Amino acid sequence: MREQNAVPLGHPTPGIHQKHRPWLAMVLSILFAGLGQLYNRSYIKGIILILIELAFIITFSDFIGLGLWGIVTLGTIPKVDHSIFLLVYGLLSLLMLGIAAVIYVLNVRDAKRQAEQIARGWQRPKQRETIKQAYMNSIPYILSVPGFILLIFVVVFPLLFAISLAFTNYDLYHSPPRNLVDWVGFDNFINLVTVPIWNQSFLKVLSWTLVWTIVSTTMQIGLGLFLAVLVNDKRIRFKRLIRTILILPWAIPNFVTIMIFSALFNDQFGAINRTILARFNIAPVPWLTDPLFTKIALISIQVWLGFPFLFALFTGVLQSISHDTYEAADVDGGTRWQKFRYITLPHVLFATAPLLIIQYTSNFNNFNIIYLFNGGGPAVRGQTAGGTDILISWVYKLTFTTNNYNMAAAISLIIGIIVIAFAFFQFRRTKSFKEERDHS
Amino acid sequence: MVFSLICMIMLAFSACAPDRTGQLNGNEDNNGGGNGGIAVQEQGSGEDEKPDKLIIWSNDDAKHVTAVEQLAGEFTAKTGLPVEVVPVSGSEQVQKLALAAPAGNGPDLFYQPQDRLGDIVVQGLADPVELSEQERAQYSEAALNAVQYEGQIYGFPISIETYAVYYNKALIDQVPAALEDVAELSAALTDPTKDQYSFLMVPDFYYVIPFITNYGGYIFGEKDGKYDPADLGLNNEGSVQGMTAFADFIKRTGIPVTMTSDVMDTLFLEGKAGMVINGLWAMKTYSDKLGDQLGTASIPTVNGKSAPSFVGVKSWFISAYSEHPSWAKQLALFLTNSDSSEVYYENTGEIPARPDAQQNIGDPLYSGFVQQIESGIAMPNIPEMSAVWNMDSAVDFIVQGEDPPSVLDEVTEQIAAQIKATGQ
Repeated sequence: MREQNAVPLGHPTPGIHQKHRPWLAMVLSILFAGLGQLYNRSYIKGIILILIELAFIITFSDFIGLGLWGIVTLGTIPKVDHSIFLLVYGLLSLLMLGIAAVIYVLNVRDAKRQAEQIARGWQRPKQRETIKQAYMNSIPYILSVPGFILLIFVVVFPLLFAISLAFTNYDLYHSPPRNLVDWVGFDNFINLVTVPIWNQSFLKVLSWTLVWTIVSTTMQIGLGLFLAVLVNDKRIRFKRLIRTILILPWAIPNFVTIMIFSALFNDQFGAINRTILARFNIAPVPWLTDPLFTKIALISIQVWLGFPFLFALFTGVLQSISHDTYEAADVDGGTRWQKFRYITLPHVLFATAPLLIIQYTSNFNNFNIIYLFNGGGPAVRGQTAGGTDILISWVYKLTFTTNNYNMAAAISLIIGIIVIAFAFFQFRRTKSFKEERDHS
Repeated sequence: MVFSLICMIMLAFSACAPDRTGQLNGNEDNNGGGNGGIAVQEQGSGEDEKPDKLIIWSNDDAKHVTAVEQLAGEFTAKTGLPVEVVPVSGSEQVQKLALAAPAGNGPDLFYQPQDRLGDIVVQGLADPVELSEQERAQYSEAALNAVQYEGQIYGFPISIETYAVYYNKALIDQVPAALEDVAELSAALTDPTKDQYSFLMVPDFYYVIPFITNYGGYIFGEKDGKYDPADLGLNNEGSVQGMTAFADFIKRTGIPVTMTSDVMDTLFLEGKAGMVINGLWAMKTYSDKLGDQLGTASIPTVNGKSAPSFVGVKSWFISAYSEHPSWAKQLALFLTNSDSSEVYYENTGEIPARPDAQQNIGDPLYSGFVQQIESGIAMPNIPEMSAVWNMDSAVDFIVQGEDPPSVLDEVTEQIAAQIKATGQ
């Protein structure tokens, strides 16, 4: 063993070890994980690392070989190679390699750093001391690593899978087992802007999606806040009863409410046209056949469905605002509006901003209400999307009935980027997150 | 550095493709069978070793599971071959099959309506089956046509489904012979202010097809016994005439243009609608409420010809990955034989795909449907059919009074574009 020649045998002499070479430790641990640690005389650590690498190579090398070959080629022989399986194997292999690479880098860094310390004359503590210290140092990692790995396979892996599909030609005619899937680069995205059935409707759908998101969410937040402030007023009696009633729309499963509303809004037979509007002598409104009225109906229903959650949320925050601030405002002669504007609103928004952002993003992809209320209809001449289709319901119509998984993945990727960009931008601007950073 | 490391390892690994010579040989045999599964089938059950058990994916509806389990038990008693019945939702079977079957976890037999046949064949999930003259003769002509794809038979028909006319005997003595006469009845019976209607139907393409076909329109042209998805007949002169006639019919009969099946059911059950067009699935609800007042009939003639309704055929298919196709075939034949069909009918209320079992149906309410099936047309089973449902919007526009020729041109163009975008 060459490293034993480099360092005199026997107990390490106190003082500076000029001859212990960090670069050698580094090179050794790059050659095989653990060798550098052996050179540093951390035998236990070295042996553990060697065992881990051996175990990794023995257990996974076949799988990773197949996976990497699979993700590059996506299979070569139809009916034998299943492209989707191979893609999954490939992604798993990449993830495992990524984890292995992280461990490897840590191993190299550890070997180098320790060698540097030894060269500077660092005294190795007693074995028991070392173990204790290693335990103390690693406990945060031990606690968070299982969750982190779970996160990688439950969140990151499906995401990677969906993203990969956007760059393939996975449709009905390229479906395993009979056929193979191939990588097609950006073709799907190019088709999105060049093929008529996609590009005719895309902008219209996108703009309605944005209007829908902003108007319906803002209105439900406004209504929730208004009612919460109202019910929180000292002079209101039967608060509990009122709160319970206001939360009821939330207690009924969404899809049931939507179906009932869909019946209520029926042009000829719905109670809204027949009973309510007829009483005021208003002519029947074409709720389900005119795009504009369908949009109005949809936004109203979404406000009805969404406000109870926000009402409950705001009520909770309002109750936590100290009365002292209001009393102080009273002493200063603050008006009702000023108290709301400068005490209530900042408190409420500060505490709830992240949840409000989530409200916006979830409405952006609110498939249920659009699909169940009128199937994205009414139909509009000359476009493949219905008058109230939002991006996600339009994608569903155009892809899942015809098995165009690749296009679905491509559009979903675009939706994902929009939502992430929006959420990221907002989270960055939100005070509650900044605050946390300042405290930490 | 890490990245380049990964790249290097990746390259090194991806160079080494897995060795699959053994697998490949086995597969080529299978492919040979694919040209037909005939080759495999003809070896007969004698050469195909008796398996430990057969697996069958039944629809997960409780009624279906009960029927299939009972029949599977009888099959086991007769042949000594155990059958495992796995309930899998019919709408999810194809997707699950595409993943499970190649991995060796698939069934020997699975269940699908015939309009998914195109998807099944394109994905290579089922092989054609060879049926003898005798075996063919037991199924009704319409059912057997429906399970054919590009001239070859793939499935074993279980039951036939379609829609026909339900009528309320308290309001209607006899269903008129021609649909055009219905409008005259309306003069006496229909009064929208009181929610009274002589005749109701949902204006969906599914129900409107008689108006297309009987005036000379068609969905796909046929070439050499195959559907030709490039030849759409939905905006030809016949279709335009048919849809114009339909708009006129809706107007004269006073059918609200936003009619939905929920509203229609409610009105019919309340005795406010004389006749409705609806599927077999509504029979139980209707007969529970209306009892003896309920009658059924085939759809009155349109343009002087009997009105063809869309016919769906639910069938058993042998998985292309079944290791015991000849035994699976025996099981499928057993499940669709005369006695089994009756058991299936008693449990599910679905009309059997065999004329002999159809005649044994005692319930007079079925007569209208059995009659309707005779003039039914199979719903095209090629994958391109899914784009054709865009016609629903065309029907909407036309009943709302827009100009049929331009609407039909526009929608047909969209359908063609969507078919093109689906790839092939």
